[in-house]
Amino acid sequence: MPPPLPPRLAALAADASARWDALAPDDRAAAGAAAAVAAAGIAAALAIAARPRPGPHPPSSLTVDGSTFDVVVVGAGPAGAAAAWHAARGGVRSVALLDRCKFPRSVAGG
Amino acid sequence: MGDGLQAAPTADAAPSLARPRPNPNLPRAPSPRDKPCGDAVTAPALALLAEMDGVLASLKCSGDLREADTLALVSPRGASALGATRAALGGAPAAATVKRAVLDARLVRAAAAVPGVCLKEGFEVDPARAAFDPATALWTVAGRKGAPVRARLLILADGATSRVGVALGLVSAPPAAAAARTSISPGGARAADPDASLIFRRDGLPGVSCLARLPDGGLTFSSFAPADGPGFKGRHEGAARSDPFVAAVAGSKAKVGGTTVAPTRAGGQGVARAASAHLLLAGDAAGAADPWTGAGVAAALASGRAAGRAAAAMFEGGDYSRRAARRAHARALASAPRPHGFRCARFVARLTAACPWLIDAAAAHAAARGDAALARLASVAAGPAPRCRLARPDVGLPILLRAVGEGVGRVTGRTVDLYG
Repeated sequence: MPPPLPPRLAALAADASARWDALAPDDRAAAGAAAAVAAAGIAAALAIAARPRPGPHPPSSLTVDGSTFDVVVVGAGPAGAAAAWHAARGGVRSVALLDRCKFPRSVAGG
Repeated sequence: MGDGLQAAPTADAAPSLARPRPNPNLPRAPSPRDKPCGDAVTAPALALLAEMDGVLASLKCSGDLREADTLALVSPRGASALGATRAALGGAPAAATVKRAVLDARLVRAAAAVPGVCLKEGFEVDPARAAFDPATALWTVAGRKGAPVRARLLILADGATSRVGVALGLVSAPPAAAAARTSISPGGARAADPDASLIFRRDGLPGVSCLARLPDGGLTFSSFAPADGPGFKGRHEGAARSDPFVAAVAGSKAKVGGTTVAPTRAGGQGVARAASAHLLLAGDAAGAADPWTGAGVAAALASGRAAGRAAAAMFEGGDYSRRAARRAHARALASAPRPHGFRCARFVARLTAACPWLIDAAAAHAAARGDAALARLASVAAGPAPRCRLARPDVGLPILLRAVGEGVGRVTGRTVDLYG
C-alpha cells in the first residue's frame, strides 16, 4: 500500500487528471508526443553531460624499457641541448636527446 | 612498425603528416652536419649560456671563450669605427668567440648531466619512420638501426635542412639564406686589432660579415646573406683575401684557410609554425637565425629554451593541444633575454640594403663620438638592446643628422656636422 500523497500534491494530481480527461483524443496524442520529445531531450542532455571527457594524459609515460619518454628531442645542437636542458629542469621527467653524431663532433670550420 | 601509425595529432598538422614525402629540392646535410654560424656569440647568447648550470663559467675557466673588449664597425664605403665597447657597456661584452665544436660538446654535456635526460649518440633518425599515433598520443621516432623511441612530445631541432621536418611537411621551403666561414691565421704587421668586427661590405649587402678573434689567437671570418645568390662563396672568399679591413686586422703575412658554405634558414623562413599539438620546433629547423646579422647561436639557444620550457608547461598542465603549445611557446619565447624580433630585423636588413649610406653615417658618427656611440650601436646590432632602439632619438637622430651632413658636404665640398 503506497503512502498517501500530501494533500496539495493530491489536489494537483486530481486537477491534472481532470484536465486530461477533458481533452479531445487528438489533443491527447499531441500532448503525449510533446511530452515524449521533451523527455528524450532531457535524457540526451543528461547523457551528454555525463559523458566521460578526455582527461589530461598521464604526466609521465616513461617505462622501464628505456624506449618511451615524455619528450624526444631530435638534434643535439645548441637548440636541442638547450631544449632538453630546460625541459628536464622544468619538471619533465624523461627526455631523450638524439643526435646522429658522437660528441665532441667535428664541426666544419670550427 | 610505422605501418600502424596514421593521421595526425590535430587538424592543423593533418595535411602535413598525410604526405610524408621528402622534398627532393632540399639539400641533404652531410654528416656531421655543417654549421652555418660562425664562432662569434652575442650578448644574449652569453646570458642564455649563463643560465645553464654554469656552461658560460666553465667555458671561461677553461679558456675556450674569449670575450670581446673592443669592437669595430666597417661601413660599405670603407669607413670604420673602433672602440673599447666593453668598458662603455659597463663591463658587459657585446660579443665573444668560442669554437662551435667546443660549445656544442659543452652544451650536450650540460644537458646530459641533468637527471632524466638520456643522450643517444649515433642515432640517425629515419625521417620516413617518424610518426604520431593518435590512439596512444605518442610519437614514434625510429633510427636507421636500433630500437625506436616513443614520446608524448617531439621537439625537432635537426638543423636548417630539417629532414624530419621536411618529411612531416612542417618545413615547406628549402633554406634561402647562406652562411660562409673562413679561418684566417694572422701574421705580420697589423694595422688594427679589434676583438670582433661587423663588416658591411658593399658587395655583401643585404648581408653582413663578421671578423672575430678566437681564444687561440686565430681569426674566423664569416659572412651571411639572407638570400643565397650566385657567387656568394666567391665574394666571401675574395673579401677574406683582399678586403682592406680584413687585411689590416689579419696582417700582411696572414694565411687564409678553406671556406665552408652552408644553407641556413633565417627569420622563420619556410616554417609555418614552431608550435603545434604534441610538437615543437627549435633552432635552425624553426628558422631561428637573425635575418639581419645571421646570428644563430643566440636565437638557437632562445628557441631551444622556449621549446623546453613550453614542453615543461604542457606536461604540467597535461595539455598537449595546439592551443596550449602555442600559448606556452609564446610565453616562453617572450621571456628570453632578447625575444625574437625577426620582423624588425628584416626591416632593418632591407633598410640598410636600400640605404647603405645610413651605415656609412653610423660608422662616421661612432668614429666621431667615441666608444659610447659605438657601444650603443653594438648593443643594437648584437644585443641585448632591441632593434627598435634605432628609432630612438638618441640613437637614430644623430645618424640621420650625420647622413644629411655628409650629403650636404659632398655637394658643397665641405664637411658639415649637423649634430654639433
